[in-house]
Amino acid sequence: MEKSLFDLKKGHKGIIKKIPECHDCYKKLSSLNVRVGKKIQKVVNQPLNGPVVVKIDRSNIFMGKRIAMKILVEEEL
Amino acid sequence: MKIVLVGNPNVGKSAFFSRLTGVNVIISNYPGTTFEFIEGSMNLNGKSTKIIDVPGIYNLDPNCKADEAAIKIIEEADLIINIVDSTNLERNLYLTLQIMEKNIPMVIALNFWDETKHKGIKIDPQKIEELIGLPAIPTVSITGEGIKNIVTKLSHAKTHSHKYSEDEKWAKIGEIVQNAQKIEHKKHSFLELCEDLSIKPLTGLPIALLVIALIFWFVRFIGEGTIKYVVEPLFSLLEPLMLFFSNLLGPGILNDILIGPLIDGRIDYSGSMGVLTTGLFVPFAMIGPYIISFYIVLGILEDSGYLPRLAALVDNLTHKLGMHGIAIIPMLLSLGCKVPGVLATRILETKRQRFIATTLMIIAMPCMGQMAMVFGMLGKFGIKGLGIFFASLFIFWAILGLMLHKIMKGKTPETFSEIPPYRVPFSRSILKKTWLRTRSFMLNAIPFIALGVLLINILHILGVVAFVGRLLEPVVSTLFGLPKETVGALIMGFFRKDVAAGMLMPLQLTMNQLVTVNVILTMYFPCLATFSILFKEMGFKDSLKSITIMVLSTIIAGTSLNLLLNFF
Repeated sequence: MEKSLFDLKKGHKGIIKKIPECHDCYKKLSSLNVRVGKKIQKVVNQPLNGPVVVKIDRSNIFMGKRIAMKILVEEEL
Repeated sequence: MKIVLVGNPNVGKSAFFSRLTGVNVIISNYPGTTFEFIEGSMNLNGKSTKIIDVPGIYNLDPNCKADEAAIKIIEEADLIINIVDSTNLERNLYLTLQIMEKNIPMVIALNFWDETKHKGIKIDPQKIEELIGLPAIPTVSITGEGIKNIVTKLSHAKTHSHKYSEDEKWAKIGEIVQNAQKIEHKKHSFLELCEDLSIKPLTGLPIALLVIALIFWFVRFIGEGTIKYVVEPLFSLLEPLMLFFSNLLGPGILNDILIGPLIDGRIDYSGSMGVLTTGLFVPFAMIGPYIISFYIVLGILEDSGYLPRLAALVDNLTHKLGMHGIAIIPMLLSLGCKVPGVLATRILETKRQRFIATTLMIIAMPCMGQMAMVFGMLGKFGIKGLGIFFASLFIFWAILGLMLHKIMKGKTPETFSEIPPYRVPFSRSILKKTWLRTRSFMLNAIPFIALGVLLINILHILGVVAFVGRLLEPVVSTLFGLPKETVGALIMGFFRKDVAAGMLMPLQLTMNQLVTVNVILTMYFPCLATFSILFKEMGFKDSLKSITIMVLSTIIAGTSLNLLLNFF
């Protein structure tokens, strides 16, 4: 099922299907290996609309809620 | 010949640099900028060769001020050592392929080789060499494994001039990773468990509070201990020499300026305002030990990988003040000295964020020099005095941030940042970093302290201090509830906050007055060194804005503290 990275539940995994289009953040996202086709795991959402912490390969990344809402993932069940 | 170390952030570059270079390490500025990089040298085939450590970058597309200069340094290199985190090969190789396009001879260091074993990652360096066409050598920078190998391979460094498109780069990386790397699933290690605990809010927030409490405890414990048992006894040993010198000079202006008045026939190091007595005692005996212990803790925090976790935890709060969580790093640095603190705000991408961070920093963050004095003065009132001091500054910091974020045009861009894995810090690079930072602090502080002490003496003798005292008396005594003698210290505060705080010691102020005057001293004006860096970094207009905000906040804060503290 496709959903935003923000909505992915704690500990759940998925495959990235779409990342936001703006050129700058595309560059930056990809250089941290956030790319279409990569497997991603949700670690935690910080409370009160705080940043979202995810894991790709062996690195953890945190990103603002608004970016996480724009990244679509296909959840692995 | 110039060898440049390039890699992503947190790939063990500084430990690598420590291994390659000797003791003679300096911090240099990129020409025409205040961008700093570390430079050292090594002996390569009998020739002294320059080694440059540029701050870590993820790609060569500049997206903040600091990156641009880093890219220029890379372009001027004769040879590049690309340091790659072997436990994160795929992502690291992206930068590798980008640097290759610059056509500079390069070798690749597959660092953290030891960690690959614990993490169940098998990499074939030979395969990487084959596929990428450059020497690739496993290294463990902390133990020094493989470093010799890198040095011998430097003569085999090659250029490789493929131009790949974005997609071709990832395809190439995919090919390398698929052929040269095998991953087995391993159980979570202890450090990985700690990683989870310190990022999840339920456990992470208490851990963060504990870490911050520990920082303060350690800095005070080591600082106070060193002062009491090492530095003060040393200065006592120097006393006969100072007394001899004082006798030699005989009474007069010169004696007043250099040694200052004696108390019961003894040298008064902290209060006499002599250039040779107070001027030396303040930097070496009153603040030096605190500075060193603070920079040791900061180095450990940086190298362990904790700071980005703290940034993720506080991101929520800092966003309400218009800044990324990452702003916590320059803020922490400014607790040591605001000069590197202001410079470090460059990691924030937008001008608006930098303005907010810098303004909050220069107004509401006390530097270690001043804190050292405050610990001494307010410490005797127990936790209460220090508690009110830090709590009031924190409240002003937060209110001011909220207001700036509301008033200023523009938005805060979304956070996006890596959280590196925990690693045991390497003692040698921490010591090196502490030494570099302490040295630059001292080189910066000593002239200003001497100059400040000298000027305040002259102003005293000329009667200027008394005159300004009378002029400012209405503000100081009516609004702030302070005796007019504090004006001398406030004038000194333009030069150095620490010496200024020291001037308050003989005044017999009450706890409330001490809290108020120290908060005012923190807020009303940055010391000269910070002031000059502020102008350089923010330009005339923004600095002026910042200073206007500063004056207004000081008056409001001083008055409200005076009212509140005396009311309760």
